[in-house]
Order: sequence, then structure tokens, then C-alpha cells
Amino acid sequence: MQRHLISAADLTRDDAVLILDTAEEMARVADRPIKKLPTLRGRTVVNLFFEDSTRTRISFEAAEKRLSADVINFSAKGSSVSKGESLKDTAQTLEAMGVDAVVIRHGASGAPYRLATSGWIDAHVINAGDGTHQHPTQALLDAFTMRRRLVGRDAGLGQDLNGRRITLVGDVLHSRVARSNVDLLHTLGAEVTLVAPPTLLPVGVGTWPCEVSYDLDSTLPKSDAVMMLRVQRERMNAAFFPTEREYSRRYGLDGDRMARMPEHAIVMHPGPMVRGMEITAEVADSDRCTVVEQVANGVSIRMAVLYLLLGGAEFQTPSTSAAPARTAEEN
Amino acid sequence: MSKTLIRGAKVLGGEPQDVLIDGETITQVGAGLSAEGAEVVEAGGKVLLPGLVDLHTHLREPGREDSETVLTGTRAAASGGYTNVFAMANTFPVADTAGVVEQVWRLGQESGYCDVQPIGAVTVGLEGQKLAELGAMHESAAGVTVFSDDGKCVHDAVIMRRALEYVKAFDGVVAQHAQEPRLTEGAQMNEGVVSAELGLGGWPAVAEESVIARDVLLADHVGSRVHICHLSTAGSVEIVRWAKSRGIRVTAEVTPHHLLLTDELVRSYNPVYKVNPPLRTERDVLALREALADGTIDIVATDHAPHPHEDKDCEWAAAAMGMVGLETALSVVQETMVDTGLLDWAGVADRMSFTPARIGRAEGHGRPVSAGEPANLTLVDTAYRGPVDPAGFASRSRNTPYEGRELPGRVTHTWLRGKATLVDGKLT
Repeated sequence: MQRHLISAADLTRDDAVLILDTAEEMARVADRPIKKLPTLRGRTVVNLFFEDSTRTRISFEAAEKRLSADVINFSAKGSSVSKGESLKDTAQTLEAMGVDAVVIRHGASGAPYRLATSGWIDAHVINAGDGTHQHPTQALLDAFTMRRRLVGRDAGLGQDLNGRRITLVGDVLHSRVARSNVDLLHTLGAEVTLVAPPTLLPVGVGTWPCEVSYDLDSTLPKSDAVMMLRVQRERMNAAFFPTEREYSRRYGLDGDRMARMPEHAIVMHPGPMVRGMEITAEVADSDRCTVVEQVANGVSIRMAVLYLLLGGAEFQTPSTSAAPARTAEEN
Repeated sequence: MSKTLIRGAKVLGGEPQDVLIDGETITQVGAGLSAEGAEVVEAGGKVLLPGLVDLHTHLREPGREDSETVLTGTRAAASGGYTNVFAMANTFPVADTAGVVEQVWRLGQESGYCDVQPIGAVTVGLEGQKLAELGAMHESAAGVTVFSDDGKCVHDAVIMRRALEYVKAFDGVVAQHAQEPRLTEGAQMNEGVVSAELGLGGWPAVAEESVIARDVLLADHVGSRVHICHLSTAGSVEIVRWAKSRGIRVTAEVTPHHLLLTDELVRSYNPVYKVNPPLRTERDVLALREALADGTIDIVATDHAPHPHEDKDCEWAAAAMGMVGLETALSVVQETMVDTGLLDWAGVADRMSFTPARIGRAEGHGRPVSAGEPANLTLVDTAYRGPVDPAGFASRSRNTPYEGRELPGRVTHTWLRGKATLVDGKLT
């Protein structure tokens, strides 16, 4: 049994489908008058957030509370961490208080993997986003949203995303969401295309199991879902692109571009959106945009992950490496 | 005067011979030498090398005595078969004045385990702005001939040019840490396939290669010699090969870890593999081995970089860069160069003793194993093979990437001017 969720690349197709199916069951709880299951009663989960993230922390907290877990929120700001305490000491302190699982958000890539594999603690570790590495629950909630919209809520049960064409647009270089999505969507059988200016793609992207394009307009008609990634304005100062306006013109999604997508195709965004930069208000507020749904689905997915990791149900395959080597053959 | 007879040692890997040490000097080398009045060390077919010389060591004193001191560092050096180490200047305070280099030099003299030759900083405070008093450091008791801002690159082309020119007056050499600073902002590991997956900031090969290209051209222009620290990429090898073919006076070093390890190890996010320049790819490793074999790369230097445990027992981004290396260097070179057939033991003596001593103008070190020469020697059991156990290190720090890894070769004896500093693998 897999004890941790560190990288989307660690999930097999069956693991991932099991999580999506379990999340559908969890979603039904949200429709009940009393949105609570007793599954994790008496278990303690800490949300260990070294980076500010209101939406992800609240989403995990809601999921934990709906499963009746005792929840501790730990924010690094104003804590002993700001006085120089190490990650190891912080984690051991929390475990000494009887924590069963640690949900960690950290600015350093690999911090959750270190926590899970260094023998510092015994608790389950769930990666809630690490540096520019991985954000596996985001990829799972995105896949869940795609399956519901493109395959169907009931028809989707037990299904993957085989043959669906998914386009990710924007700052891939600095995006943990993009890395997790490429890994998971590939595992689920989808065909992934990354679209970005060459400056915002990592050196080495050629070995990823996806296509790469610099041209958004030619990709849109061949997309079942288009996911816009946030582009921080600061990137402009580091010469990743000349101006905000030029970025928007070449890689932003506006109404005209959305009209070139197939009728059934959806627009996604992991949030927070920078309106006017990568996405216009017209698109963000349209029916085809799933941003709000993604947030709701996030709670279901996180419930499913906590339930499967802590509740005793088994993941199919153990994994020993955080990020198995991708090979060119997988392209 | 005490006498020692080393009996049946393969000198530089050749036929077994006896070597007689009288006082500080080798007095006889030959077959069937008389043991009269001498303490006998039965070499039993072990390989006898000239005492090793490390052109790139961090001893951390003054300033970071929690990670290493001159005493613990020189004990580690003796354990690894070294009789002379060059101590890098990035201490606290920086070794940029005659006072600091003399202090380090004296601490080395007092230790008695290994000669310490301080390296002076090129610029004041390693800040790359203003030349340090290079002449004063050279004229001090420490007699500095090698200058380096190692840890930082002398990136300003004018400062580098002036430094190269200035040290010609006393036959000095500038050892460049080649790293273009803008291209390596936030760099955490080699930029490539693995960094793309792991989401760690990339340290591109071009950041090293572009500086080396510039500096060999500068050295050519002003007629100076330049030394390249810890060369790590296949592209850098090509540039140095080209420069040498043009007659440019460039020398280069490679570290043991760049001869053995690749960036695939970073997948563990274990900071024991975090080092600057970073571990590169298999292709680079093979190019570096080949270049060391054909002489394009002149020497092996350890870049021994001790760090306290807490600086490695953390997340990758927070960890310090560097690895200890003095006590495993010869084993790694045997593994990667000798056992692979790329280099014989005479070649090892050249790359780890003769040539580094020549580049650093170290007197009395890197000398042939023959009568009349100073008795700086190291005896290696090349048949040994076993796992690396950091608990047994003489260094104060344990940040080795080889823990548990099986490596060949073990230094059993080291002599510094005839005095045994290591006997049967134990420090005296």
C-alpha cells in the first residue's frame, strides 16, 4: 500500500481511476443535508503550509472536516519556522503531538518527498504543492472535472480520459500544476499539448510524454479542454516575454479564440486567475469555464485521497521513486 | 635519524621494489635493500605513489570550525594519501590579506599531518570588485602562488584580465570558478531533463563554458596562465582542448564526484548530492574521464567541501552545496580511471601529485619516487574493495555522497617528509 501522495507520476491508471471514482462518492456527501462522514474520526491531520495558499488550505480543511478528522492548521508565518527552525524539527514536533497525516505546501521542490523518505516522521504525507515540482491533488481534481464534463458523471465511473485532447497554455516552466497534469493525463490516456512561448518551457521538455507547440491558434480547434495557467506579471521583468500586452495577444484566451474551440470543449484554470493577462473576463465568466466547478471538485478529490490513504483502502501499486524517469519512447 | 624500509612496493604500479627512507629523504630504491637499522613496512604488492597533492580543498578555518579545522582537514588529507593541500580562500574572514594566509599556513605547519598551502583571494572579500593585495600574499610567509575567488566567479572581464596580468610578476596563477552569475541565478542542479521534471532551478552547462571560453582567450591575449577549477561539462572539455591546441597556457581540474556521479541521483532530493558545479549527465561524465586520460584535463582536485550535518539534513533548496572528498578521492579515481583501463598508476601519480604540484609551484611535493627526493609517499592497497563508512572519517564533516557505496582501494600508509602520518590505515 502506498503511504504517501507526493507526485502524480506515482499513480497508476488504476490508482487514479479509483481516486476519481471515490471522489464521485464523496461528492454525493456534499449533496446531503449533513455533509459529514465518520471515516477519520479520532485521526489528526495537520495542514503544514510554508507558503501562503488560501484556496488549497481551505479545500483540504473542508475535506478533512467532512471526514471528521481533527484538523490542525500550521502556517509558517509567525511560527518557530520564521525563527530558523528546520523542516525536520517542525515535522517531528508535530508528529510528537500525535499527527496521523501531514498535508504539506512548501516553496522548495522536493520538500514533501524529503519529509516522506528521510525517516524524520512516520505520518502519511500528502503533497499540497511543492515549489515548481508537483501538485498532485490539483491534477486529480482537474482530471475529475474533465471526466465529468467530457465523459459524464455516471458514464465516467471506472473510465479514464483515453483519447481526449488536452491543451495546457502558459507558464509551464514555473508550474507545478503543469507537471502534475502532464504526468496524470498521460497516465489516464489523454493526449496532452503544451503551448507557451519558448522562454516559459523548461529545457528538457522534449522528453515529456506530450506535444509542445508555440502556436495557440492552431492548437485550439484540436482541443477538448484548454487549461490556462497563471502567468505572473513579475516574469516580464525577468525577460521571459516583452510586455503583458504582447503575452496576452499571443497566448491569452479571449472570446474570439474560445470560439475556435470545438463546441463541447471546456476552459479550465487552476486559479488564481489574472484577468486580462492569460484570460479575459468574457471567457472566465462564460459557461464553458469550469473554474468554480474545479474548486468544488477539489474538496471531493481531497476527501477521496485522505480516505484512501488513511482510511485503509489500498492503492494498487507501491512506488519507490518520486518521479520515475520519462523516456523519449513515451512521446 | 630514523630509517624506514618499505619492502616489496609496486612503485607507481611497476615491479615490486624496496624503498629506503632515511630521515626526511628517500635514500635508496631497488631490489633486496638491507633492512639494517630500519623499521620495515611490508608492502606486499601494494602500490607506492608520491604523496598526493590537492589543488582545491576547503579547510573552513578560520570561521567555520564547526565543519572543519586545519587540523581535522589535514588529518583527513593524510588519511586519503595527501601530503600537500591547497586551502581555498573563502573562509571568514576571507583569505585576502597576508595576515589571513599566514595564519592558515602556520596552522598547517603546526598540524604536522600535511603541508597546507593557502590560496589567496583574487578580489577583496571575494566580491569581484577590487583586486586583493596579491603581491603581499605572495611575499608573506605563506608564499601564495595560486589565487582564486572559488565559490564565486571572477565574472568581470576587466578584473579577470588584470588579475591574470598582475600575477605574472611572481609566476602566480589565477584559478577560476567558471560560473556566469546571471545564467545561474537560483540554480539548484544541472539544467536538463532531470531538472525539468524535478522543478529545480537549472544550472546550464553554457554558464560554465562561456566563462572558460572567455578566460582562455584573455589568458592568450595577455600571455598568462589560467587554471580552471572543477571543470564539469563535455563542452568545457572541448574548449580546453581547443585552447591547448592553440598553445594557450590553460590547465584544468576535475573532481572525483564529477567522474562518477550524475544528476540522476538528484531524483532522491537528498542534498548530499547538491554541489557546485552540479552533477552533470552520463555523457559529461564519460567526456571528463576521457579528457583526464588524454591530458586535456590535467589533474584531479577534490573540492573537499565539509558542511555540518544540519546543513544537509533539510530540504534541497535550503541545503549547502558541496561534498567532502579527501578520504575517498583516490578510491573514486581507481574506480573510474584505473579499473576501467583509462589510466595506469603512473598516470594517477601524474594527475594527483606531479602535475598539481607543478601548477601550484609546490616545492618538495609531486617529486619522483627516487633517491635524493623528499620522502612524501603514500601506499595504497589496490586489491581492497569495500563500502564507504563516513563514521570512520577523520574529517569533522560527513557529507559524502558515497556512504555505503563499494569502492576499490585503501590508503594504508602516508609519509610526510619521512614521518609516518598514517600507519595501517590509522592516523599517527
